[in-house]
Amino acid sequence: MSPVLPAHHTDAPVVAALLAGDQQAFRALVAELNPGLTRMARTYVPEAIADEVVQETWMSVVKSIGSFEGRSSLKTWIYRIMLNKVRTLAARESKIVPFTSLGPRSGDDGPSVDPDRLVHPELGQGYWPDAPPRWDAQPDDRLEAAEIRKRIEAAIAALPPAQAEVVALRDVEGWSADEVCNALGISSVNQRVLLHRGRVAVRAMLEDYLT
Amino acid sequence: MTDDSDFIRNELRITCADAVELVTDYLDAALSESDRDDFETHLSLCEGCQVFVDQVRRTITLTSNSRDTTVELEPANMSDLLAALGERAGEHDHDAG
Repeated sequence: MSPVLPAHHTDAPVVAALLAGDQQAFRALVAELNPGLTRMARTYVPEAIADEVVQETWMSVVKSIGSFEGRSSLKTWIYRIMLNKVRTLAARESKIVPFTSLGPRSGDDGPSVDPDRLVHPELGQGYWPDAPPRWDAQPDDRLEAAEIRKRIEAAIAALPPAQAEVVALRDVEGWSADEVCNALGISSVNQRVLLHRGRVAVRAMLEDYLT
Repeated sequence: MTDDSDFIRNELRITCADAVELVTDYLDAALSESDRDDFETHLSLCEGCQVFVDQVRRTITLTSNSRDTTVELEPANMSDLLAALGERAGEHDHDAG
């Protein structure tokens, strides 16, 4: 048992197993978290560098698991290690190769819908004149689904980094709001604002593509 | 299509421009009771905002479906990691003993 981790902590058993050198427990933890860590890291830096960051993250986890104090979940703690590494690297990379600034940025502080579209002939400013076209059709073949996937990835990559992080964790990885606040060290209000701005930017891209 | 007479009769407290900013808070159940009532009343009368909310829901689903599932379950340095895990446990035993 870690000297600093309370015995009742949810992650106490897995931490104890790692401290005892349990390979099976380590492999299970890696299998659970490695895909998400890798996807997240790849939103900051090119794939090959991202994969190295994740490898280094796991090495840090192995070496410093004894200092995990259980103030967050083990998952959040591991993500924070990865985020610290990849953000530093991305900041350094961006001075050489502007990877995250390729293409125009979207999702900045504008309204969710262009105010020019919200002008009703009688009710005036702020109301839909007609409902926007519905997106009834599901992507009907694999090619179209793959195209949408590519476009969504690109739309997320074009978001301001703070929005991209929240959208990636909430909507791609399916984390809860609390988990995201905890991992990124942001307030719940800020989390929802960033998520909304990011989502409406992705929606706007899909609207152009689907209608 | 929005029904103008309902809008006017029901004295809606929020506009479509307000409603579209509240969608994420609504879906996260983060609105106060009175804001939620205003939002739901608006939605019940406004097809434009119904479609918008539906589009945000579809955006969330499509984003979730866009997750790349081809990434590796194991990092390439797994053998180094397992070796380090063993070494660390050895040191730990030594410390404890």
